[in-house]
Parts: sequence; structure tokens; C-alpha cells
Amino acid sequence: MAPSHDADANSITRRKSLAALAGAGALAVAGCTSDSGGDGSDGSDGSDGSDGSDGSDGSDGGSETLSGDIRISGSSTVYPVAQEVTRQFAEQNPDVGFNLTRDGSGGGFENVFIPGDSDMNNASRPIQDDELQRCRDNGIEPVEFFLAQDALTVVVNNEADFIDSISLEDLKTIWSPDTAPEMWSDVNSDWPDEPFDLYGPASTSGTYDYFTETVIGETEADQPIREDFEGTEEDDLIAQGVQGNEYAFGYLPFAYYVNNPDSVKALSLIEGGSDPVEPSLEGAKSGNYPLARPLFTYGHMGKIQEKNHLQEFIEYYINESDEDYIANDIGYVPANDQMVEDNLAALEEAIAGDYEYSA
Amino acid sequence: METEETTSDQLGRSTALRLQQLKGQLFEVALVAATLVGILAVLALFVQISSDAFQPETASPAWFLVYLGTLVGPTAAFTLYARRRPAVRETNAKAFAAVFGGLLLALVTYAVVDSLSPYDVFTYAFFASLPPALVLAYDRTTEDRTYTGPAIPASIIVGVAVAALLYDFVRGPIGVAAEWILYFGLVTVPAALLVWTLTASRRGRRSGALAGGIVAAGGLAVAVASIVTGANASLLVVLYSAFIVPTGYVLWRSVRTDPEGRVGVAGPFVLLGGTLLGAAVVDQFGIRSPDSFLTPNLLLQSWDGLTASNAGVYPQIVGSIIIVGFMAVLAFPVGIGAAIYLEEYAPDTGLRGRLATILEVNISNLAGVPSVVYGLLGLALFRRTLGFGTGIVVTASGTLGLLILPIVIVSTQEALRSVPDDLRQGSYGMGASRWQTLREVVLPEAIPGTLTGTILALARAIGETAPLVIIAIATTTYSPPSGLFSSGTALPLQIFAASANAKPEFRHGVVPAAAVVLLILMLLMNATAIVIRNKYGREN
Repeated sequence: MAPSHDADANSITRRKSLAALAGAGALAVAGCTSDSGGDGSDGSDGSDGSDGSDGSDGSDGGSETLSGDIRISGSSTVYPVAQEVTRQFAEQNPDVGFNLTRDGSGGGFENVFIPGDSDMNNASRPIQDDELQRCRDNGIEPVEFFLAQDALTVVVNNEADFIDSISLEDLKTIWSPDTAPEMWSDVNSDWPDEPFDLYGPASTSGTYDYFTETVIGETEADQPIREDFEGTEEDDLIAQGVQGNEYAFGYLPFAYYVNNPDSVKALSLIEGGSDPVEPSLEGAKSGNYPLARPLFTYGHMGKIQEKNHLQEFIEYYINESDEDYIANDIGYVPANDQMVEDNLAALEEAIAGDYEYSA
Repeated sequence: METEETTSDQLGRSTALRLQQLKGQLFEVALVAATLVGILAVLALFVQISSDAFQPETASPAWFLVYLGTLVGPTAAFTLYARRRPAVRETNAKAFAAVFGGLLLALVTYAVVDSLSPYDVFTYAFFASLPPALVLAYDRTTEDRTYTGPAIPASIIVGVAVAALLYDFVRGPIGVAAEWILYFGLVTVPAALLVWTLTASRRGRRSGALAGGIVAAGGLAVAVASIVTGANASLLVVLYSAFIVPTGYVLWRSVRTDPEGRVGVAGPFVLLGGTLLGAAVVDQFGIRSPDSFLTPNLLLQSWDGLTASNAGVYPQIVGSIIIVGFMAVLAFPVGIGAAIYLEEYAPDTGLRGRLATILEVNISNLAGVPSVVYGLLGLALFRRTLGFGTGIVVTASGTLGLLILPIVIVSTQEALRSVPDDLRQGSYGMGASRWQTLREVVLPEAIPGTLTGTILALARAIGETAPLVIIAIATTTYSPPSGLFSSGTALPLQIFAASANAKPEFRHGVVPAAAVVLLILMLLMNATAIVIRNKYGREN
């Protein structure tokens, strides 16, 4: 008896409170309708998107809002540029979402771009033939944009007064596994009779690849570079190593040197008997400085044709690539006018669907 | 002569004894040294990282004095006072857990729901909670409860499936509602129901309903007030329901029911008040604070690779929480289920017994597989086989879930194994079935150990970097993930990227500061594990 009575009383309480809640709910609904009318401008995404397309159908083309996602994969060397440009673009177009990964030039092609997951892939070297082939097998035409250059800096200790410039031949002699000199004086009799202490990027780095290909070239020995140097992934450690010994010698990316100019002394380079060229962005931009490697981004042509916001972004990217901050803040050699023009032409062709990559 | 011999004999024996003792003492010293080396190395690392992150040498001595006076002194004094009185200490711990746990819960809930869109979360939560609520209501009205227990998880799955099917039809009508209503439904309603049940169980049904009603009405009042004043109604509703309500409940209960330990509730407020007072004094007198890199900007903005003071990791923090949260949903049921099977059901002998042994050995080995391998596994499984696409939240959660699965299984097995067999035998002796024994005796005993192990697995997952690089989770995005199938991002990746930044203030400022954020996330998880373990440990 008692339990049923209890349950009865209980259900009344519950019903009462439910009624109270329902009343509260009604109030809430009343509150909401006026509210959602008020902030319609920053309402839900869905309605906003349709508003945007309505706007573009209308007369004013300038205030058209872009929305959608852009995925950029690839080289960690190009990442700082892509990061800064996307940040600015995202600030101006808050509805465009960016997704930047740093998986290396090859890793980006292999895992993300060739399967068709990303819209653009950054690379610190031109696309390789087999990568191109596999892109085309998947129906992807990569559109090449040559954006900037990453200069290499050859550095010595700040105390090393005996050397201000070095020829590319001497550089090759020092680093080649075929010669591998022990003493500075072995290369040039004006230099001191002291042993070399060598520092450079590890073999996993793109800087290493570029240096071994461009400076050392073909070798008779099995390895591309002499073995007795301190190789590291961290530019910081190269600089620290060179700081630690008056007779140390090394090379590192110019971007590091530009941001840490007091740590080490940079050498001017002599190419084929010409005047020594200081490592400077102007020198690299004009083409006089011999050690600068190209940085690219590759667009997915099908997606460029498909996505309006991607076209707009790539155009923005190309136009930003000759700005001063690329040099002053990031430390890369910005694009020159010719490169910007070529890139814009490539973009036009890609939008029209006529682009075809050729090395 | 005899005596002499005995003495020398004794002497010899005591020398041997002394040597024996010396050996023991040396061994102990060596052990202490080993412990100290480990602890000091970790400590030195922490000091280095936090000194880089906070830059304490840039603050004026007055700054330290002010905070010593307002924050460190009072907090230390209060802690000393509380330590001497067990009742106060216990209340103090409870108040700390309520205040900071509530605050954290509120902020995390808001950040996650806000990025996933409250409309979607509400749709799924509504459909997932309606069927079990109906089952529970049915359970109340009937005597036959055989099927209601298993029906609850099944009904949740059905509810989610229905939500996915009806999504396109339902999303439109729900989209009409203002955001705060959805937060009200998501946070305030559960909070009110919780207060209702808790109060009802202690003080009768009438006051339970009253308390629940007060909580709900308070939520409405907060919403109305913030709409009138133009504040962010959604955030305030969440803060009210997940922070103010639990704090208020715990404080009110402590003050009313615990006259001895009542003073303990002041603990968190001594800390908070000290911080605020210190900040006010520093501001008033223009005292130079340290140029810390751990700023509100870092926590609330998105990334900027050129200006260190402008760089923020908000999308990455929320991304990490979403990835790890969904990973827990995927991995824990599977892992705990597997562990229960292997420990409680799998036979010891015969073909199936041998199979179970092989499985167990393999699982233990899997726990030691390098995380990069799991990244490759995730790439092969989710991208190549299932076609999910790289870099999305589901892929990341699935990959990390596979990574921690062996850890979850092994730690749950350990927890189950540590339940004394006497309890099981006793339960069987009372005539209980294996399922009843498991549910009523073994699992409650094993909960603290299981939770500790699984939460530690979460803490490991949140720091993983290598597998996320392989499955191409974004390093940088400018907004947190907007859904489970949208591109994810995670804090460790941005830390890794920033450590290669050419500017020294990134490498020696922003990176340590972001690492401190990651460490705090991990420590919070570990603290949760400890709190849960202590709570269950005490109750048992």
C-alpha cells in the first residue's frame, strides 16, 4: 500500500516540476526567436554560406565572401612562408579554413598529395619524375609555382680572421670525400696549420641534399660527402658547434643566419674567379649568389578549377611572394617580377585547364 | 686461552657481520643515488623549461614580494593549518576539486562544443539520451527488469544511428534556436538532473525536485541577464552550470553538514583571491612583471610564425582535446571489454586457452611497439583500406586508440587480477552467477585501478607526435576542428614545428611555454586519475 501511495505522490511532484520546466522552456523559446533574429549576421554556418552565394550573384563582386577549406602539405622548409601567407589570408577571409601539415617534400607528395588529399604540396626541390608519373596515374596534374629561394650560408667562427671569402672549388675540396683534407693549410697555404672541425645538416635535410649535389657533385667514393663532420637536424647546434672552435667550418640555411647574425661569421663566395659575393638576399635575388635553392609549391589542377577560394588564395600567395617580409622576417629570397608573372600565367592556364607540367 | 680464542672468534664474526651490514648500507645508498639522479634530472628539465617559458629574471624583486605576500604566504599558511586537521583537509581537497574541476570542465565543454557546433552536438546528444531515458522510465514502471540493463547501451547506439539518419531533417529546425538554448540543454539540464537525483537521495524527492528546479531556473536567469547586458550567453550558461552549480553544491553541503571541516572550503578562494589581489597590487603600483611567454594570447589566439607575442595555440589545444576525447570513446570500451574477457572468461586450458595465452603475450608486446609504427598502421588502415582521408579527427583518434589499446588492456587486466579471489569465491558461494559476480563484486573493486591505468594512457596519447605526422594531422589551422570528419590538429605538432623556427624567441620562449601548456594538460589528467582513485579507494 505504502509504496503505491508514495509513487503516486511522487508522480504528482514530477508532473508538477515537468510543467514548471515546460513553462521555462516556453519562455526560453520566446527568448530565442527574438535573439536569433538579432544576431542573424553571425548565425549558423549553413545559412551564412547561402547568404554568401546570394551576394556573389548580386551586383557587388568586391565584397564576395570566400569560404571553404584549403589543405597544404609538404616541405617543412617552405612551411614558414605558407604559414605566414595563410595566416594573413585567413584573417581577411575568416570563412576559409586552412590545414597546414609539415611532412617533408617527399612525404607530402607520397602520403597526401598523390592520393588526392591535399590541394597544394610545398617542395624544396622540383617534383621528381616518378612522383609526376604517379600524380598523372591518379589523374592529378601538378601545377608548379616557383615561389622563393632558400640561400645557403657558409660560416666560420667569429674569431677566424684569416678568411673572409672562399671559392666554390675550395669548398668542394674541403667537403668532398675524395679529398677530405685534414688541415686548413692543406687547402690553401695562407690558411693556418690547424685541423678542420666541420659542422653541417644531417643527411635527412633538404639543405644537405642541395649542398652535396650543387657543391660536391659526383664523387668517386661511395658517399656523397666526407664522413667526419658533425651532422645534425638542428641549425642551432651547427651554429653552436662553429662558435665553439676558432677553426670550425660549417654551412647552414641563410634563414637561420639572418635571424641569428651575431652567432657566427658568414663567408663571401667566389664563383669561377669572379668577385666575392656576400650572402645577401639581394645577391641571391639577382642570381649572383651561387648557393640558393628553389622553393616550390605544386597545385592540384583539378581542385584549382573546382574551388574558387583556392584560385583566389593561390593568386594572393603568388602576389605575396615578392614582399619584403619574406626576406626580412622569414629569411628567404623573395620572388622577382619575372617569377610572379610566370606563376600568374601558370595559374591562368590551370584555371582554364590547359596547364601541363614540363621540367 | 679458551676465552681468548672465543673473543677473537667473536671479533671475526662481528667483522663479517659489520661487512655484511656495510654491504647492505652501500646498496641502499646506491639505490637512493639512483632515485635522486632520476628525480633531479627531471626536476632540472622542468626548471629549465619553466624558466624559459616564464622568464622570471625579467621581473622586478617587488613582483616576487607582492605575490609572496598575497599568494604564497596565505596559501602556505592555510595549507599548514588544514594539514593538522583531517576534517578540514578533506573538505579543502573536496572544495579544490569542485572549484578547479568545475572551472576546467566548464571551459573545456564550452571550447569543444563551440568548435564542433552546439547544434550538431545537441542533435546527437538528444537522440543518444532519449532512448536510454525511455528505457529507464520503463524500468521504473515494471517489475521485470531482465532486459532493461542490456537495453541501455543498445538504445544509445540506436539513438546515435537514428540521429545520423535524421540529421538532415532535424538540423534545420534545431538551427532556428539561439545557441545558448542548446548549451542549456547540453549542460544545464544534466546539471539540474544531477542535483535533483543527489538531493532526492539525501533529503527526499520533494526537495530534490525543488533543488533541480532552482538550478534550471538559475540557468534561465543567467541566460536572460546576459542577453539583456549583451554578454556571451552561451559561455555564461556553461560556466554557471558546470562551474557555479557544482561549486555551490559542494560548498553548501560542506558548510551545512560538516561543521568541523567547514573552514576547508576557503582553500581555493585563498588561492584565487591571492592571485587576484596580487594582480591588482602589481597593476596599481606599476611593478614590472616577468615577460612570460605563457600569456592569454598563447592560449586564446591562433598561430603566428613571425611575432612570438602574437603566436597562439588555441586551435591546437582544442584539437588535442577533441582527438583524445574521441579516442577514449573508441578505445576504452574495446580495451576494457577485451581485458575482462581475457581475465575473467578466457579458459586456461585447451585450444581456446592456448589462443588466449598467445593473445595476451602479443598484447603485452604491442604495448612496446614504437608509435611511428602505429602511424603507418593508421595510414594503411584508415586511409588506404577504409578510405577515410588523412588528417581528419577520426583517423587520428582511431590511430591513437590503437596505440593505447594494449596499455588499456594490460592495466585493466592488472586491476582485475588484483581483486582477491576470495571475493569471487564468496560471491559464487552465495549462489551468484558469473555475470552477477563480475558486475557486483569484481568490477567495483577494479574500478580505481582501471581508471588510473586508462587515464594515464590518455596522458600518453595527448603527447604523441610521430603517428600524427605520418597520418598528416595539420600542424597549423586557424580554427579548431569543426567535426569528427574535418581536419584535426594537435598541440605537439605545433610545438615540434615551432622548435625549427629560425627566430630564437620561438625556440627559447614560445616552445617551452607551449610545452608547459601540454604538461599542464597531462598533469590535469593525472590529477583526475589520482582524485578518482582516492575517491573510490576511500569508499571501498
